[in-house]
Amino acid sequence: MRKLKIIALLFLCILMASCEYSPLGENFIERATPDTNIPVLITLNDVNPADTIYVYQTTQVNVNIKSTKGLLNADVKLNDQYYAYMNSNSTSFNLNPDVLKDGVYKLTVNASFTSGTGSLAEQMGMEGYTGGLSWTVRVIGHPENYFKADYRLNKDGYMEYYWYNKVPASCIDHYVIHSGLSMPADTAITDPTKTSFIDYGYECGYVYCQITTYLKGGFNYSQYISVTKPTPKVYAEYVDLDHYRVYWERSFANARYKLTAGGNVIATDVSDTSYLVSQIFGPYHSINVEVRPRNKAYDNYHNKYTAYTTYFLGTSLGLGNWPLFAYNKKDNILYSTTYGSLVAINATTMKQINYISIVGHPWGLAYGGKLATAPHNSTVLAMTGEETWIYTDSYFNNPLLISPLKGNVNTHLSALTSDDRFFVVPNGTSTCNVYSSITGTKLFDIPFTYNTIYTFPEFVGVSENGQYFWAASENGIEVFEVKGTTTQLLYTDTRYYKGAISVPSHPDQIICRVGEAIEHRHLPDFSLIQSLDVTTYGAVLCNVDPVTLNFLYHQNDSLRVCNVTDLSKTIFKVRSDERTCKLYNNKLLTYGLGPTYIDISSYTK
Amino acid sequence: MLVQAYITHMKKILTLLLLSLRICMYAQGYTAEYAIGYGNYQLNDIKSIQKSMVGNYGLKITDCFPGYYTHTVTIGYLNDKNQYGGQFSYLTTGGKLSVADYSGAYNVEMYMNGYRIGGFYRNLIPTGYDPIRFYLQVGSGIMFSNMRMNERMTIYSESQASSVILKGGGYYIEPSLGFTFRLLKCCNVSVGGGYEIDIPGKMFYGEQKTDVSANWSGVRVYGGVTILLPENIFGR
Repeated sequence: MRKLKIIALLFLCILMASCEYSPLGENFIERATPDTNIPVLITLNDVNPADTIYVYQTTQVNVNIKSTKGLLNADVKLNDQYYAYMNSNSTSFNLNPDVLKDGVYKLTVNASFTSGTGSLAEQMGMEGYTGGLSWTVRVIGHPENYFKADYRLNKDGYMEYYWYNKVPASCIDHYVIHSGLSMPADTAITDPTKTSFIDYGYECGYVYCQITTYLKGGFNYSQYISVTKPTPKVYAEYVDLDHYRVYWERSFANARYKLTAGGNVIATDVSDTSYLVSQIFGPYHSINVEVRPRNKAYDNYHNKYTAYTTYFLGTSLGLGNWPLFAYNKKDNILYSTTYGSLVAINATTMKQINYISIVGHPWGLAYGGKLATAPHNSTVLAMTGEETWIYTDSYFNNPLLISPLKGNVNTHLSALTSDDRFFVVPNGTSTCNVYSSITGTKLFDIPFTYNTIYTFPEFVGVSENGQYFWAASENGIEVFEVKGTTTQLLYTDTRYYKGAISVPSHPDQIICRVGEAIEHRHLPDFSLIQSLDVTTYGAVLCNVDPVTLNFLYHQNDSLRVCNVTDLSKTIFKVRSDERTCKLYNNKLLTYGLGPTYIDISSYTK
Repeated sequence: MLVQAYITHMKKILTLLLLSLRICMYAQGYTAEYAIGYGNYQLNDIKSIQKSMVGNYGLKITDCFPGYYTHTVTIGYLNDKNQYGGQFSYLTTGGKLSVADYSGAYNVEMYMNGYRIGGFYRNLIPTGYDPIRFYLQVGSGIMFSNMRMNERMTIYSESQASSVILKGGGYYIEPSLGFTFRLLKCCNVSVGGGYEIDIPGKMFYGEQKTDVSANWSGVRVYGGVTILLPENIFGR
């Protein structure tokens, strides 16, 4: 009984312990279940997912996610590797080609959104929406560093730019060629497979070209090419007395040429580089070759180049313009002037052997005129703008000064005679003043009647020995014989004279241009030795070479040389417009711009 | 759910059984008493823990440590007007936080159990009507507390559960008063009430001491049956 009670007591305790309180209550919240799908907008640099993203250099990528539901998280994967994480609706990250190897990648943006229901599952992150979008990314690191461009001459002779791109053509959108100096406008090449461009506007000179590659995606880079090719040089060479050849180098690329020589257009729009040009003795020919693109459509201010040269027949004397000439047969010295100096030249070698500056106040020899040499000794005389200087020889020491006896190019006569006299007829006068070439004193005057109105060619002259003096004009001629300090009129007529010159070494002969002929006459009787009819073309007397007695005159368009013994036989002829040429020791000398000479000895043998 | 309903049903049966128990009573001798009562519990710290969880995932308090039945067993000695002996009480209550929707449920159930072991002294005072006596009583001893918090989250087909247990001890003292009624010679019934004052200690989470204490202080009311066992049944 007692045990039974104890067991009952223990059982009671166990029952009490089993009466544990059970908490009550339920809090069920009615919530709408989420929709199956929600609209989500994921943008990545506004690139359509169907397009490829090209990464050529470090590129910032902006990702934006828009949805009606809250964004839980998002991540960016590149080829299934996490690349960036997003904690908000937008993020930016860089795609760096220095880090990424060249190749094609798949860039995926995955995003998770809340369901928006507020449910327990949503709060626990076990309910929501997930989705993603992928783009194709093509990485080509720094293609600008591998863009090379250069130029070459193509098989057709045009300059061609060519280039190399590391980027395949499929990634290239277009090219733009900018060559401002040779092309009228920029050229866009939309065929990405092309790797060259012909510049039809370039032929030579300087040009620069900017070649820009525009890649898909907008990235672009350029290469600059600078080309400098010389303007072709032009040359001229002697062919014969009537012709010279002009030739020039070809330009680097095809061009068309325009040749101008002596102010005349010889050839236009030609591709030849050699032309035969008619020449005349005398002035320098200015020659230029204008180089332009072969195709006129590409002409502009910049791609026009001109090559210059000059040409003249003969050899330059290296003197200033408008030189005076006199020849001393005894010393075989040719005297000339250059600016204010008197120059002595070896008449064989034509090398200058001495010179002296004769200054004046203010003109000096610079604007003086008339040189004269004595036929019997080395005396040489120069008339300046202020006075007359007489030197005993080509050393030009201790000159005798006759002042104020001045002369210029219009002085009719300035001649030394073998009797040491100096005959001078100033322009505009009808008197010949005769001086002693030794003392400089005036000896006497020779008045005459027929004073010419012309200063060219020689109308007034004196024989080498000073025995005969003549004055011709368009009104007639007077020939005097000089005896001591007196004169006697030997002959006169009233024909129309166009010049009268002496014959060296033959003081008893005179050559006149009168009427329609050249008359070679004998003195003192003025009898006719020979005559040359010049009715058709006329003639202008120049001089008789003291060495060869060859007579130089100008007729029509040429200088002609014949021996004084036979005027009818022309032994040398050269085209020239020069009418004031001189012939000394077989050297045919010009007067005017850039004096030159031709040694005609080889033609007169 | 089925188990919970079963336990609730058993509690009702047990209560009726004890109230209708007929046991002989003696005027002097050993006593064994079972008292069922009702008490409310301060348990401020525990309630604070529960409140701190409100709002998590939408949790709301659906049950907050209400007053509940107490069970007390005493074994003592009755000598005319004095009764004293040992005492064991079981106190239980609980709290619950809950939220549920179409996607699942989240429940946090907090089971709070207290075990008092101590002594008591009861002074019986005649009322003039012999079967009924007024008594004054004071009890004191050690209070052991156990708080078990079960967390269960069910989302769709997946669920996860965890449990945390806090244990602690303390002291209590409970003055009370009441009446006894001699029902039989060896059986008294009594009703009374008092107020339990706890001096709780801090609870432990495993070996780790927490700032939480279980203060069971509160009003107590009892109704019990006392069985008197004559001294000679223990060998006199």
